[in-house]
Amino acid sequence: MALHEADQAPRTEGEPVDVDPLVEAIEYCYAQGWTDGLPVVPPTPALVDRFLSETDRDPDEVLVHIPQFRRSATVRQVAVNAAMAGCRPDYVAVVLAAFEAVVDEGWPAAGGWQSTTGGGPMLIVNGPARHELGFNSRGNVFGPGFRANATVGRAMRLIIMNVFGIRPHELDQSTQGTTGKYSLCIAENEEESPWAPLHVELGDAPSDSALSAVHVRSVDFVDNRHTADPRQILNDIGDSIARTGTIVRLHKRICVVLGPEHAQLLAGRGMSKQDVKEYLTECSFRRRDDLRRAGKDAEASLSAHADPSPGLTPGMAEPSGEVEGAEGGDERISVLESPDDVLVVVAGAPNAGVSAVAQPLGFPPHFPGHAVVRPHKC
Amino acid sequence: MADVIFLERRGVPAAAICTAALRASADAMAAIQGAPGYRYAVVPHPVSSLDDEGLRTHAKLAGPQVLDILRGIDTEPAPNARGASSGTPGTAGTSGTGA
Repeated sequence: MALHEADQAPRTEGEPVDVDPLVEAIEYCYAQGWTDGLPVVPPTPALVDRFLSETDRDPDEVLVHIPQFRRSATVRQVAVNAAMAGCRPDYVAVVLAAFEAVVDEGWPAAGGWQSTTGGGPMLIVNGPARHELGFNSRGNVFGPGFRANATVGRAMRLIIMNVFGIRPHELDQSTQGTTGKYSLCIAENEEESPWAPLHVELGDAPSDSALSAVHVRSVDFVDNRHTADPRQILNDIGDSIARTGTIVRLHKRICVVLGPEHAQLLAGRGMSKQDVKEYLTECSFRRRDDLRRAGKDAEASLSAHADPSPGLTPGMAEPSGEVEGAEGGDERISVLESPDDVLVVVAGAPNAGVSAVAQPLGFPPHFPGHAVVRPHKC
Repeated sequence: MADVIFLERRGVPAAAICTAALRASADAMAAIQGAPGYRYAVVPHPVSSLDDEGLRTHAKLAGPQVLDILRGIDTEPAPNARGASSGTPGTAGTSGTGA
């Protein structure tokens, strides 16, 4: 069945659905290589038109051209992939802003989508669109159950695969990838955050809806319901930030998603968001011995490409063996250079002392990528 | 891979070096750039964790391949380069370097 046939013979309410053409259409999409492995909604012309009717933007407007792929993304192509991802037509302005934020971060042009590091965009939604479209900012914020989160995040991956042709075993060189590549979209819990929300911190009006994007390799939990001391909680988060496995170069950026309970506890002890960023910059470190044990002392010495310290051997050379007690082993090696390299967002339920650390990839031009949702004028 | 093809199209002699593990992506990018079968030097994987001696060995494998590409000589890649290119000559279409 051609996809346009699915638009014909409108069905009246209550009439039984003939599932065979629908299943055929889904299988057709699989056969075209249009999916992320999960079934997609067949993007019939009528369905795509419904998406395009929800925006004032020209369907042929080019949102980005990436020379190395010789491909451009237009408003129409974003709408097609949003439809396939399962978005509602009225999500289209948010999907467009999400994609603009992803592009704004700078990784697409710099090859981040193809990297062996295997990450993908994490989206953060702020403003009234969270409630208008039903984004989840509370319990299970990284988990399933919410159409807006699931499908807007998924739309990014389908755009990357279908518009730019970045598919596994071809242009996508991910060594392992991450589950977040299917979809990773959270909303900030502005109502239970003690601080200004992310989009206001970035200069938007509170009444704006906005999308922020950070290309992340992983999201790791920090469970600390053991103390009410703000420094201990942040020390615990700092330990996850500085996990040796995540250290690739000397410094990194980090996105900390504080659960409301942690955020409120920190604010209750008088800490501003900036205070939190500054303390995390101080407390996110490893001892030189820790890095030696992991064969990463060279990273802490000079740069990612530095020669190893005398007496140490890197990577696949001879095993380094015991290193404890070597000179300077107790030295603190900070993994964060500046509080500006720390993003703090509040999301989740205020029901436990749980936060998360999202590990971004490298130093793209903007941190985070950001775009304001353009309202539909009609 | 794209950068090397861009360079060639600007008339700059160029040759890419790729590890065997990343050939699928290299071939896909060459095809996107309109240069399917584009020839490049291939060395065993990995590179990033090699010590100085390992890097020297890789350089010795890559060097002759790079020279052949730049000279337009169609030879098989070094036998030690596991999974190496079949040596299909490919060009970016304009430079005449044979690469």
